[in-house]
Amino acid sequence: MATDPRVVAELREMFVAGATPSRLIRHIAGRHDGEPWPRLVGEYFAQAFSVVTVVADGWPETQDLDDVDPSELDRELLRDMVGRSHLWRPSNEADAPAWWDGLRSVAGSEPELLDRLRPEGEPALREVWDSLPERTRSHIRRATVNAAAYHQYTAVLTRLVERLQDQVLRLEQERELAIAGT
Amino acid sequence: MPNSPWIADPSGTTATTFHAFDATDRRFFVRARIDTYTDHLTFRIATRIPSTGEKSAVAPDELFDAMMTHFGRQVGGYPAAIRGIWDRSDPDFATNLDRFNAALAAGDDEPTAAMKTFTGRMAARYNYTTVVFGVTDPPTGPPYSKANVYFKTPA
Repeated sequence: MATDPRVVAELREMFVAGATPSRLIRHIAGRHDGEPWPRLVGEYFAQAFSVVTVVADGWPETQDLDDVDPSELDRELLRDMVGRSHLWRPSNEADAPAWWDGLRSVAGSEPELLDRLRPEGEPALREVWDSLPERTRSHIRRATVNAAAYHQYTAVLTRLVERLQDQVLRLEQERELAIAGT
Repeated sequence: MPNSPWIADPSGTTATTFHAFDATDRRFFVRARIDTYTDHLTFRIATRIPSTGEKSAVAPDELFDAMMTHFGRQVGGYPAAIRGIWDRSDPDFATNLDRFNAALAAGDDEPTAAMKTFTGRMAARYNYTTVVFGVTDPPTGPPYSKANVYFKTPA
């Protein structure tokens, strides 16, 4: 069983249009109906979005997707997919709008985010940093990491929510037009 | 490998991926992938099913060693870090998180607690003894329902 390049292209197109990772997994399951599709999820995300996820690695072949907690998928995986879009979006498609266009400095990974953070350089901490116990410095670093990470999750999710809201509005308008035409 | 208690799956094993399973029960496995963007290793090992109490004949240490041996033979050698994504969303894979929380509750600081987990203990065998913490949930402190932990070799 192998991945299908057509499905890779479909996943990218769907994501650019606003599909969430859990929706993408449903698409993979649908395109490989009758096969042990959970084994392909990690490979599809690697090929389509240059990211690593192990979320499906423990799933049985009969995994019910309604039972899956999407919290991991819809936070850091989304952030990584957006932050690495320069790797998987061909440059000739760069003019096609994506829902995250305009978001600045989204990290492509948590280590990339960690590298940007320097709490010891903050004016309030600079003078006392060296005198703080290591356990205190570690706590400050972790609090800073959490603040930065959750800030990026929120920025990405807020943008995605707006895209989905636009789609809801369009569907409502189409429905109203259809009702008016009957 | 004759009489090996585990079998590597050629279709799931490449320079950046590794899949092996218990030769007598495929429900028990290791699946691993190198993130080529960060050169970090992410993996899952299943050698017991908490809900039923079933256990693999293969020890998790053995699968971890098999994984590291595989990646150590690749161009570039061992990865820059081993990434632990410890999460309660799938209870079958919460062993590390439960051990981490228990050590914190007993008074350990976070790096010490992280090294007491299965991943921390195994990472130390390969000299990944520096612990770097990523995001936690909740962000305010333990007990955690999620923690991202990176094990690196000392600078």
